[in-house]
Parts: sequence; structure tokens; C-alpha cells
Amino acid sequence: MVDKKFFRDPIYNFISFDKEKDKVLLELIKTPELLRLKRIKQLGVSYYTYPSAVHDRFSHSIGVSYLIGVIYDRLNVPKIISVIDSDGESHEIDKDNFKLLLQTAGLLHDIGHGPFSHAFERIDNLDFKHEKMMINILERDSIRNIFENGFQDEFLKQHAVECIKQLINNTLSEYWANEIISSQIDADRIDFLLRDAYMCGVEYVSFDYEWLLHNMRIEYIPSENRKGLIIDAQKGLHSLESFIISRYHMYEQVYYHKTTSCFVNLLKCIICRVRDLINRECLGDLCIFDDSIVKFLKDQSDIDSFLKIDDNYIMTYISLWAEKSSDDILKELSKCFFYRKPYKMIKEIRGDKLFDRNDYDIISKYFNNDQKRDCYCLEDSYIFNPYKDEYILGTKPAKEAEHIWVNVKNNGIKDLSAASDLIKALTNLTTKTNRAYVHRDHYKPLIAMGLSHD
Amino acid sequence: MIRKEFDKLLTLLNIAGEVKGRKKFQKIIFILQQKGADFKENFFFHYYGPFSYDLQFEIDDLVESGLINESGNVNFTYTLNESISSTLDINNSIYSYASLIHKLNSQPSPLLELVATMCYLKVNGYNDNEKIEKKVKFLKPNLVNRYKKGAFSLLAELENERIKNFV
Repeated sequence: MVDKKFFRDPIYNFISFDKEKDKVLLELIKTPELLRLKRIKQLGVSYYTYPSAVHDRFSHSIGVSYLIGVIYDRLNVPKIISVIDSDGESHEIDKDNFKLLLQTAGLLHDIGHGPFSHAFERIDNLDFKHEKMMINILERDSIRNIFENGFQDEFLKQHAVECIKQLINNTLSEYWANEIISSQIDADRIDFLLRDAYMCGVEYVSFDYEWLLHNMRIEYIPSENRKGLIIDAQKGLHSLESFIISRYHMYEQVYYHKTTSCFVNLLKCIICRVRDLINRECLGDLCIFDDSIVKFLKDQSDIDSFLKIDDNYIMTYISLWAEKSSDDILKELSKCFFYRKPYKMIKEIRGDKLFDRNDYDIISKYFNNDQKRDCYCLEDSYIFNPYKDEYILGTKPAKEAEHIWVNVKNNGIKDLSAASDLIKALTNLTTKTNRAYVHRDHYKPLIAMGLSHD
Repeated sequence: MIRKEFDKLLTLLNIAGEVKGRKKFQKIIFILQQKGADFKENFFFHYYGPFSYDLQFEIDDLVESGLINESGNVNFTYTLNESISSTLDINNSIYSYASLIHKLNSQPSPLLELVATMCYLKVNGYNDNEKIEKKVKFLKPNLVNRYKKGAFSLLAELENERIKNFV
């Protein structure tokens, strides 16, 4: 009997890690930092729209780590991999140890996510990005000790944190390795597409990921003068097209669903309001039972406070604010969120701006109060959607854009959109949508004042 | 409101007058972000240095909305739509970066690419110039030979640059 730890999984059926060789992964899974991801929903507030979308970032992280192993084993990986450390020195790591390093990076890649996945991101005067938080959490002694005791490679024992940072930041010398972790066709995307579609019950989103991986190779890309991941177009093009179309469908149907987007914005409004109350020292309005949220909103480098804040923590506060907050705006926002009362969509427009100056004047005149205006009239745009799809939405592909490279027989290595008419058509589609939502109490009065609407 | 998010980019263009090239636009915003400007765009390290899809989308959107002008075919130049200038909030925090914006905008794009790469390494643990030089030699071999001196000089200037609080 092989000494392995098995996890049942709805996407891959069995996920297994070797108890000895993969000790680092199994130890990390037990840490509070990783267990916290069990309390962070992978799709944030999408469960308000798709009731079964309650899967968490923990299962996704295990899935990504496993899938990296699957990809790695199928690729033509060299026996020895050179890594340049932060002193500029080169170190050689054997193939098996390097695989474990990549799987570790995959397991930890979401460790810096805040509650509801993106609630704290892109908020004015709040310096929070989950990538940055992840790097800070990696530096914690609890994580470093696991690396020191778990990696067999002497260099990785001391320098795994640094290597994972390079992998996440795309600066590792072996560029193809970065691409397994983070690129247009990385393990993260493959796993979240399959998992999200399954958990949402969106059956038309599927692709043959095994065939896709079977036709993936590490090859030299002349236009970028480096080695990278390439798909053999003759065999893998159709599964690659399915992958891109699946992304497109998920984006349209799930990630940018109008009701979900409304609740994402509502949640951000709540966080902004709480931050403003804290800045004005109106803590009495916040029914504080634990001050981690206060500490974190004052100082976004406070990792200990951050790690206490998860979906359950925020939802408990919102339930309190909905009943007991003495701040009317926070109370109303919290009620709308907790009791699932979405704002009414007043306007949706594709490829154009939402309102002209006259409309903005009407909105300002009606509310006559900047705070109420910003809380009860929400604007949403694809560009502020955390799940936006860069590959499909880039109408004018920049030279710097990330490509999916395919090897076309007798024609060399091309970008996918140059090799597939289907994808070319998709990249030219305008799916940029802007929306405005208004609190239900203010919908009719605003229309009566002449605000343009659908 | 979303317009508030866009206003930072519009203000930058108002200060700069024009920005020649997408790459230059990207690198200027990245460097300003490192200097504390409240730009929210996510950057990742691409083959051509720090790059942000968020920013690319935002610029495309501003062009489509007619708020900024884009001219050229391959090398794009960006200017602010004249009618927008008077609607911008003169208290926008980006004005405190005006001198830095002018300085960066007057530099050639490849130099900014190298400097942005160095800044990226700096915030990711490469804490002295010797280490940075070794790493950029690997990441940007062509640029290092031509722009190394200018890049380190600009990097030093950036470190000494003090941002005046805009009142």
C-alpha cells in the first residue's frame, strides 16, 4: 500500500499527495493561514445568484496544486532546472524538487485573498492587493519553518519563499515555470473554470483539459526569445478553443452576472462606509465585538488582523449592522446585503458610457448628499470586475499582452487568435458592459426627474 | 462613482499634455504607484516589464467614451479631450505628482521599461543595486547594455523624489 493522502474531489475524483515526498504540501494544508481559505468563498457573493456556488478557495487551492503536478508530469521538463536567487547566484534544482516547489506555489497562490474574495480590493485609500498580502504571509515563521523542515533540497529549505515570490511575480529565470502558475493557460484558470462551472451547475461550460495538457510542450518562442508553453495546433486546437469559449461563457453568465455585480458593489460600499466611520472615529455606530476589522482598515499591513477576517466574520458584522447600527446608511446597506435585496438596474449599456453630464447633475441634485449618492446609486463596469477576461476583452491587442502560443504545422509558432478563426471572431466581440444600479426606494423618483434609463 | 476612478488617469493626462506610447503610459503609472500615487491597477511582470491589463482596459474605455484621444496606428499617442479639462477636480491627489510625471514623460520608453523593471524587483526583495543589476541582466539583456547608467541614475532620483502634499 503506497503511503499517500487522498482527497476526494468533484473535478478530478482522486487527488493524492505522497506523505513523505509531499510533506510540505500536507503540512501547509494544516496551517491556520491555509485553513482560513475554507471560510472564503471562491466566487464571493455569486451564491446570491447561483445558490450552489458555495465552494471555497481551500478546495480550489488543493485542486491547483494537484493540477500543476499533472501538467508538470506531462511536459518535457529538463532534469535539472537553474534558478537565480536574489543575490544573482545560480542554483541547480532537480526535476522532482522543482515540481514540489511549483505545487507549493500553487497551493499558496490564493492565501492572501480577503473576505468574499475581492471585497477589499480597488477601494480608494485602501492599500490592499491579495498578491501583496500573499507575499507578506509567505514570510511568516509558521510557513518558513514548514519549508525548512519539509523540502529535501538544501537550497529550497532556505530559499523556497524567494523562489515562490519569483514564480508568483513572473520573474523566475525559467519562464515556462512561471506560465504553469500564472499565464493565460495556467493551472489556476483551468481549475477555477472547471470547478466554478461544476458548482454553479453551468453544464455548457466544459473542455477536455486532459487532451489540452497532453498537447502542451515547452518550446522556444522566437518572437519573445525565450522558452514557454506551446500547444500543438494540429491536435490541441479544438480543446483550446473550448477552453477559451468556456471562459467567455463563464464571464458572461457567472462572473459578470448583473445581480452578482450589484452585490459585489454593495459589499464594497459597506466596506467603504465602515472605513469612513472608523476614520471619523464613529466606532459606536459599528457594534464592535472584535477590533480586527478596525485595525486592518487602519493599517493594511497588519497581517494578524487580516487573517482573522473571513466571510463569516464579515457576514456576522453585516447582520449586526443591519439591525443595530446607528448609522442610517450603513444600516440600510447592510439590510440590502444581508436580506438579499438587490438594487434595481436602471441602465445597462454595451461599449458606451452610461450617463452624460446632465444625468450626473440629476443624480447629484436628487441626493443632494455625496455619501448617499455614492451608496444608493452604484455604477459598475467590466473593467472593475475582478474576473474580467483579458484574452477576450482586449480589443486592441498590445504587444505586451499575454499570448497563448500554438505551434502551427509548416507555419511556426503563432498567437492563438492568428491560428483560430473562431477565437479571432471572439476577440473582436464587444462584451464591455457598463451598468448602473439604484436603491429601490430611489428608482422611480430618479426616473421622474428625467434620468436616462432602459 | 466610476468617473472618480477615471479622473486619476484623466488628471495625469492633463498634467502630461500627451503621452507617447502604450508602453510609456503603462510604465509611468506603475512607477507612480510605487511612489505612493493612489492608482489601483494590478500589475504583473511581463516579458516587457510590469504590465497591467486593468490599465489597458481603462485606457481603451476612456478612448471609446471620447474622454481621451488616441492617435497613431502602431505607436499610439494619448491626449486629453479638451472639453474634459475644465471638468476635472483641481484637488485630485495626482497633482502632487506633477513634477515626477513631467520627468517620467520626458524619458524614452525603453529606459522607463528598465526602470520600471528595477522598481518591480526592488519591491520584491531585491534590495541593493548590485543584485538588481544581476537580475536585470538576465531579464532585460538588451536594455541593460544601452540604458543601465541612465536607469540607475533615474532610479536614484526617484528614491530622492519627495512628493509634496497638494493643497
